[in-house]
Amino acid sequence: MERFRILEHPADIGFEAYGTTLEEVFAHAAQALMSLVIDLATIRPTMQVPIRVEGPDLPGLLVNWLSEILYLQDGEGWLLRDFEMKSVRSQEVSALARGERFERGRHQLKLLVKAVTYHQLKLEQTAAGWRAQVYVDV
Amino acid sequence: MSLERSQLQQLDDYRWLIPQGTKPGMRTDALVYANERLLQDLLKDQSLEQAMNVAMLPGIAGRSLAMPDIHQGYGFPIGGVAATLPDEGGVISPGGVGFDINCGVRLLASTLTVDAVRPRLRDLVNQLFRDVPSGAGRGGYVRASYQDLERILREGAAWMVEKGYGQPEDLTHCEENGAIDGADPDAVSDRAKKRGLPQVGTLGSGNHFLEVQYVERVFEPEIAQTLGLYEHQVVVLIHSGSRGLGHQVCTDYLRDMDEAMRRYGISLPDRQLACVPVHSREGQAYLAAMRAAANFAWANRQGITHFTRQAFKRIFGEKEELRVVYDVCHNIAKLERHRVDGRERQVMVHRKGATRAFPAGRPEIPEAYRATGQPVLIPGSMGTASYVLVGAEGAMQETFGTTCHGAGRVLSRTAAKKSEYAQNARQRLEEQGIIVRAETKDGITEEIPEAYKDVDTVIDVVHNAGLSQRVARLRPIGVIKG
Repeated sequence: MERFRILEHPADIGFEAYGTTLEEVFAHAAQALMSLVIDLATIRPTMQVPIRVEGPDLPGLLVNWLSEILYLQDGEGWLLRDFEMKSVRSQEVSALARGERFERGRHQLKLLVKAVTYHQLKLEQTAAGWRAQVYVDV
Repeated sequence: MSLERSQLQQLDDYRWLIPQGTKPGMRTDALVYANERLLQDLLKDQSLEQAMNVAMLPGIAGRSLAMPDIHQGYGFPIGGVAATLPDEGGVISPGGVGFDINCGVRLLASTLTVDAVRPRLRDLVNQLFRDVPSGAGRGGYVRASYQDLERILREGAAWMVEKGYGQPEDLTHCEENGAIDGADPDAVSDRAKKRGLPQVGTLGSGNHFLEVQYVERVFEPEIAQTLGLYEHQVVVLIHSGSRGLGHQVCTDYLRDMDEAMRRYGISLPDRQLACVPVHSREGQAYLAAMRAAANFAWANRQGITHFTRQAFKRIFGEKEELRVVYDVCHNIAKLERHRVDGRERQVMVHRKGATRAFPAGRPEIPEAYRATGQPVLIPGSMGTASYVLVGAEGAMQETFGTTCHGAGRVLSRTAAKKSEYAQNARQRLEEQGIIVRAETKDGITEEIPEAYKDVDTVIDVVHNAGLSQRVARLRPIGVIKG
């Protein structure tokens, strides 16, 4: 199954992420976000970061989850690649993310993502499981 | 829903009206500034739909306004202007400011001509690329502690000048003198501060840039002289904002407002339009944080100015001193006094990808420019042209003292990257005598000139519609991209 797909937007960029479960769609959305910032293959999953995030509802939770990963990248220098989801409930997600710290020379960023938006935000059940649609500001 | 041409009323060559009833929920009309050609592009995406959504904001004053560089954003269109009446339940919307709070433009003037700079251009561009990092891989060279950051958030560019990153005269040539009142560092989260601290003096990526340009053409010699600009003169245009600090402030408060707006009984068609009354606890907290982020942006552009000056001195000698012509913000919400329904009222003007353009005589304009009108700086796309204008009376009458902010995208980033133009973008620019350095991989290919509207057409519209007056056209010769 395809994990995610990049979407076009006149000014910025977005992605669709897919998963058979809610946990999977959250993990794949996080990978889609990081794939905009850097080639995922260049991240070594040698360190781990626990993440726990709350939200008002499932789509809001998805935005907060992705905003957290973005904060860890831009604020703390974490490049995260693999996401082991502990649980995704309606108002709380908890996970263990794997990756490493940014290292100049070895990592080249593709672009800087400013923020995750609520614009045309979707998180819906499909015949195959779940589909998320997210646009980010770059 | 996408808008049909027939739903627009043409008022004249540059004005198109979308009447209030066009979409249920609109509280006022939307007014679009465009010529026939630009309008064709607008009908292809969601930008006019977004301008109609903005017309639904509680307490909106006058019309929802769309500048000729309007393009589809999130919630608000980019190039959108909306004023609200705080005393009549008017709202403040973080989405109406944008993630890059006080994204703006600063123009520096040199004493050199383009012929004098050309032979050293490659050295200059390389030096600027070393001294002004994008933040994608390298942090900024401004030394600031966490305590310093508190002062930066209150004092903006003034703190930088105090620490030696500039001269006092720089400040008077900034909108708000480089620091807006009412900022509260305590309203800014620790996370926002952590993102921002290493980023003072960095450009950022995306459409941000530093360009070495020259004055290619002067349209109004007297005004240009007052601004200290003349043909063939080399200038530097800096386009950057509040970096990660501002992005995090917007993220934090959008989250708060997403929940709070339900308590205020506000419902809008796009979650990104989240807003609360200006006179609410949440509204006041956001404004205090937004102003702090705006001050951070002015400090950031001041830092970039300092390192740009150093680079010029290194290449052209100690005597070369760049002068700040002006500094404008194009993503901000401000309390201003404007005439609404025949009387002067206090309004919260949201400028989302739009520039203040006050005409001659206004007290907000620095004394040196008060007789000409406020300088307006419009960055074009990489490798094309940028413009200097001054504010005009029409803006006060129609647009809450506002004009456009740039060229406006027409191609998505992915489409730009895939286009045939992107393949040899760097080479094509070099053939035109433009040297480009970019830190990120996508810095050049996503920002190719073909991805934007024609800046000359956008300027024609604001000039002919009387929103601002064309003064000079600038051509790039060196580009630093994030």
